[in-house]
Amino acid sequence: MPVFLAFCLSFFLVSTGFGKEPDLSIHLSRQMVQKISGLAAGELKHAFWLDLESGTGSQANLSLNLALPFSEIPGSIAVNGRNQQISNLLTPLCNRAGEIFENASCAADGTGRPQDGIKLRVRVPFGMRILEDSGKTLHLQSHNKPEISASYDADIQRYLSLISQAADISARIEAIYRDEATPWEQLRPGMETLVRDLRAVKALITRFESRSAFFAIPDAATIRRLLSQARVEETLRQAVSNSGASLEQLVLGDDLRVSLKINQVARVFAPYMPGVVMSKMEVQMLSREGSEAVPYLLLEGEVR
Amino acid sequence: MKRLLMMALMSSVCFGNDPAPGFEDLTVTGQTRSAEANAPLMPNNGVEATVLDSLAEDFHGGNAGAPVARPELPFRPDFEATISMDNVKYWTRWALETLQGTKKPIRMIRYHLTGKGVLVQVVADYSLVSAALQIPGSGLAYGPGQIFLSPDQRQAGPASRDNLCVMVSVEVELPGALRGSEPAPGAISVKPGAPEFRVFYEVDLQEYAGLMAEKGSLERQMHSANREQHRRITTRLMEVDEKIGNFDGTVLPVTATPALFRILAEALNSQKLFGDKITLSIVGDKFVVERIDAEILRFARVGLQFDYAGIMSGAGGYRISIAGRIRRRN
Repeated sequence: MPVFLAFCLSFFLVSTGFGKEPDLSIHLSRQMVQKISGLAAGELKHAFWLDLESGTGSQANLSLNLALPFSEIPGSIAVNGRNQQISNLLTPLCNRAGEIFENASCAADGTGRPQDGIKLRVRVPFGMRILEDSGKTLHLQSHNKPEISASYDADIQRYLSLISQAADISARIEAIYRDEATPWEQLRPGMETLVRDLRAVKALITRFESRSAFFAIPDAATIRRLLSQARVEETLRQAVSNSGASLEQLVLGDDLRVSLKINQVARVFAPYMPGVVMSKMEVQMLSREGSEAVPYLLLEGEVR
Repeated sequence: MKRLLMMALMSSVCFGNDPAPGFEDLTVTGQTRSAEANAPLMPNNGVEATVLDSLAEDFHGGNAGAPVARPELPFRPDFEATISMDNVKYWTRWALETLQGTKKPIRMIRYHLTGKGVLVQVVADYSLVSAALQIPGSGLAYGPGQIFLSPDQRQAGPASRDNLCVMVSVEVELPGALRGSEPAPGAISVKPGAPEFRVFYEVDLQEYAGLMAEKGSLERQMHSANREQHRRITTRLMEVDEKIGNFDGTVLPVTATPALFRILAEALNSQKLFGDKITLSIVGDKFVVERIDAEILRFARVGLQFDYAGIMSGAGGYRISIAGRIRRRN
């Protein structure tokens, strides 16, 4: 009798889905989120990328980073109510492309001027609320004002390439840590090389990020003009559709809040989860022993 | 007799089977000498390892792969040596030990060995240089601790000039060769670069020092760690690297003024930081490291002439390579 009851109970639990583990669970690091968003943009991967900055549960602090060709931005913008020539305002931190990655920093002397090869960077910080049907729709609502700065196109491309390299090396390192079939002493030399490589790559990433200060917050009209002239909505729509998802809405309010809604966002991650239907997406702050918590994007799904 | 005395002095300084840190690659051949006898070569010999050791250590990137040899010299050197990071870190230790716990305006001096030469960082109280250095705006735009975050993540803080420090960093470039020149005893002519300025809170300096110490400690632990420890150490090391990188990358767009250098020079000289060991001084608008290393001085004092000083890189990091000849006196 007890055996029969246990059988019935287990059947009930399985049939109702109670206690069912997901078939697949993936934690994506900040670099991986940047890499995937860049890949999702396909040929336009240097046009935008998403950055996972912090967050927890259904709330995430993301930023949408746009890199706009200088030729497509207006000649003047309004900052703090004053109209200023963009050529006077937007000077890259360094005088030459590549200097931003060098050991000694490039002290700004103001001689760098926007020209071909320089892109305007627009960072739109988002407080992302992940909806219940997160596998289908992603609703991003900005909670802060967009910021702009200027960077050399070559530097942005190298930065994104470094992000991609860091994500790849991190994945290889994780795979080695998980390889418990091989004695650690055999794995150690290769691991130390990978860790050295990763530290070197991340040092360059940090240099770019710490030296690429955003310094100007344009007004709403300027931002609207920038987004329009740079065809941001079309660019995003095309990039998102490359991955199988679709952009339903991009709205810029007068208060500079940006609302972005993407349908079928799960398809963006589909190449990384073949045959899997995503059932859950949330941000978790994870920490390992002795380390500080950092944000990861958690994706769970069922194999169909 | 003079020549014999000189050779005896030279051997007492240079030769050894178990050389002092930083002199492992000494290639002069001759009589051997014990490590104890070489003790005077070791800066701060006998001082117990402390957190300052760790703080003085640093990772300078670079250098995987085969070591780069010094170029062929147009003469046969009588002596040559390479000075590794181990030696350079002692310079930092000297400075830190001298400055620790003092209320003097110079708070810290730190040295890095880089691909070009030596990076010298001097941290001074903001009040010391405030007259000569104007921070853009009314103060720092962010609060204590925020300098370790990337600019995107920094929270705006109260504008404040209280408890601020200024770090002036200059990379002093070592010449690739000093051929044909005969430097004055104890002096190597060096080429200073453009100074960089960082402004931060005093508590940030303490955290920065703590992070540097932690970084050195983690790197040492990594070599004997098991799989799980290694994973944990690597994760933490990345975080520490990022914080240090954000600090290092936060440079103010400030131009150096002669007045600023004069103030710093007076403070450095009045504190008599190094005694006979190292002289860091400021002449006009340039930083000058007049004596790169007390140990190099020893070579000079016993009648050796520097003909070459350059930077080499190898698996162990950057090294200063020096070579020269016995000075011939007419």
